[in-house]
Amino acid sequence: MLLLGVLQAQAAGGVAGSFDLLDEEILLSAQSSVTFSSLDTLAAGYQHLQIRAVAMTTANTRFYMRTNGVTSSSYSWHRLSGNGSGVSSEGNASQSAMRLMSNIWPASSSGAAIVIDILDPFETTKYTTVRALSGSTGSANEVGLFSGAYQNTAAISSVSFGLGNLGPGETNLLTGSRFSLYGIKAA
Amino acid sequence: MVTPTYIPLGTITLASTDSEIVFSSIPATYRDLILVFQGGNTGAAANIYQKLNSDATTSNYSSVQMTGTGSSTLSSSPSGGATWTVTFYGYLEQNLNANVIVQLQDYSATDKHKTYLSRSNSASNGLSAIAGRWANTAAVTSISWTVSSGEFRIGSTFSLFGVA
Repeated sequence: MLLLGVLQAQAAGGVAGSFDLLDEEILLSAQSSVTFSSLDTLAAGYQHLQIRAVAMTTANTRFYMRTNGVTSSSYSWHRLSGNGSGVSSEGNASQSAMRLMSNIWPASSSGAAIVIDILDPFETTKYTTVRALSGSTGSANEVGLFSGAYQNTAAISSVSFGLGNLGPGETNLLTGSRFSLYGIKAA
Repeated sequence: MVTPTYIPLGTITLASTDSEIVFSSIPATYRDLILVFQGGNTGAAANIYQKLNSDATTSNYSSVQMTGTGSSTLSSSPSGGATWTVTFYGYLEQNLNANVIVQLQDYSATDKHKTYLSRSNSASNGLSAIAGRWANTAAVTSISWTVSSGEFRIGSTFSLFGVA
């Protein structure tokens, strides 16, 4: 057995780099959504964004993302997911939000794990595209690969996340849910 | 509050074959851990099994996995094991052509079960995505990896990162 102890000194040895934590929200009470706003200043100088989240809920629900507060039919998304008995795929255009997980129903004291990459969110010559890896086990099991697009060339100034079956905000995110926003720099 | 992160915590490159790799004394300094593997094994096509805090309680590990093999897709939810697998047709084999990235979310939190996401790829066998849960609220202080056949091959690399 090869054992490598991780020294505290190593853990504290951060150097200003290309992957930075920009903001974080850990819910102290249930709420319908989480939003990171003022991204034009908060994330100025970064090429891409990453969201790392643990979404707590006790309901069988879905996870959605919106950009710039837009609720019109401006989003498309695809999924490839497995539920423990089979693998399926689905795609939808002209949606009011981007779905990034289709079947969350984690066990008590548990949450769904989600990692979202938002590519070129500040470019104004192309649509903003998103990819995600998400999953949870509990009353329902799912692991999924998702892609999405905000079909607008506007720079992204805010991103929001919520739960629901038809759209975000129908089901609360529970206490303990955690959302962290990271910026990734270009060369 | 800009905090530089994705901090390397440790890297192991095998100079000889080994049956188990352990990262221990992991500080509760970060939100997430990311473990990156590139390598293979000395036996038949094999899975990597992951255990946290040396916990062998069979009811504590659950997962759901899906794969594409090139000719079919599969999904299953293993239960009753004392570990997770972080590969599923993203098998290791007798070369160094498999890679795995595991993301362990909120590993230092003490108010929730721990969830992980894994993506594994094998040049010969396929690729997989896995989500799992460790039904324990303790902070994770050690991660061990074993392989289901043979040993980890010389040249295999294991890198652990912390994300604030």
